[in-house]
Amino acid sequence: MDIKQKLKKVIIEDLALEDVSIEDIEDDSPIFGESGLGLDSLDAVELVVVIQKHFGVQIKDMAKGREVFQSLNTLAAYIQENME
Amino acid sequence: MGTKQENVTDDWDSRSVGKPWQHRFFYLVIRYGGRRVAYFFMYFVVLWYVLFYPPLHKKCRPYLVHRFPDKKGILARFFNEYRWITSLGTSLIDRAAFGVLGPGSLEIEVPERAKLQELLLEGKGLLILSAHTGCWQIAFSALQFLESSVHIVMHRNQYDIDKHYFEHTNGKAPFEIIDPAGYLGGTLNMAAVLQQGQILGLMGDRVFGNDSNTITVDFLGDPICIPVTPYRLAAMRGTPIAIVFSYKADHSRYIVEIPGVIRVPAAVERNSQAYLPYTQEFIGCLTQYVQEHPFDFFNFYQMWNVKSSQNKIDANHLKSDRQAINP
Repeated sequence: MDIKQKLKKVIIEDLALEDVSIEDIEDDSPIFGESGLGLDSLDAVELVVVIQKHFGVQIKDMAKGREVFQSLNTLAAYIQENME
Repeated sequence: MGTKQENVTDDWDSRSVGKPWQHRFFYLVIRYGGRRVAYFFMYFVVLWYVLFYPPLHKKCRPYLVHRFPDKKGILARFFNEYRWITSLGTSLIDRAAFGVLGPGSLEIEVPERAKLQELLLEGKGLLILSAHTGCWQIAFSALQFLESSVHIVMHRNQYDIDKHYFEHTNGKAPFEIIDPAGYLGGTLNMAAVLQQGQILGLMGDRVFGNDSNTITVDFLGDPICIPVTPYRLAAMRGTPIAIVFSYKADHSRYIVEIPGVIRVPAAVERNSQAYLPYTQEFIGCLTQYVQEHPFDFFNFYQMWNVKSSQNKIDANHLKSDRQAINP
């Protein structure tokens, strides 16, 4: 399973997104807000925990958050870059 | 997913009362006359507002009716309003004096400081959960003994004209400020603070803007909406939450008390309902506080403007929730 697929799977499972399948999540749609996955600001915190747990990647520089969390593509790219 | 309140109150705002010149007048009086002289003027200003500014009654009524349900007569209500607003005026003067005259003008005691130090030593950061009580800003300044960075979530309304106490000097603020109007409500910054084992200060008694991460709890007999953010943040790493309130003990002394410590287990849980037991702990402490210091609680708006209560839970359901979360 590639990073994007795994990321979609853990987001759905760990954030308990009911009635959302991996196929429903588009790679370039926004993660936050109603136009995308519909996650809210506090979900960002939980997403940080989920990423650390499943990929061993910490988002230490929260100033990069806006850039990293733009879409699944940007998030997956960040994880790929920072995985051990 | 999650339990959201349909009608979050938006009746409060942080805009200052009064005109800029009125604030400057008081800053001058404090500088050249001291606090007591400033209080003297304040008592008359407050009297004027209570007698001749009708919107003030609307702001005062919700809390006073809930806290003093038996005080229904006009004189009793007038007296309580006057007492409450002068208490606020005293707090604002003290805050300004702390900046204008320096920290030596007031004594801030933290009798249970060792408790905060122990919590911080757990290494999971520390979340200070407060409310609009006493003089909370100078209370937070008293946390410097913890020798760790303190970050406070605070929004500055564009119409705010009264200064934070540290704005009266050229000194740096004793804490970092995280603006909840920032990207994703500042939550990533808040999370970073706790991840780095530092201290985050939040208010647990008001909902900011249109934040939908809220939960309904009973306070003084009726439901109010409060933020779930502190509890979800704590759940990220199992960060301890220290409930911290302050009150004025005498003319020149504030006490910072720690009436409770809330332990939220580390877990990813999006359903606001899961945090109800912890919010109940906070509200329990706040209820005790307003019983003991009724005029040191400063929410001048309709806190009980909750039109639907999707989160109404009876006592039995609450007990089963608590057992599920704390097996």
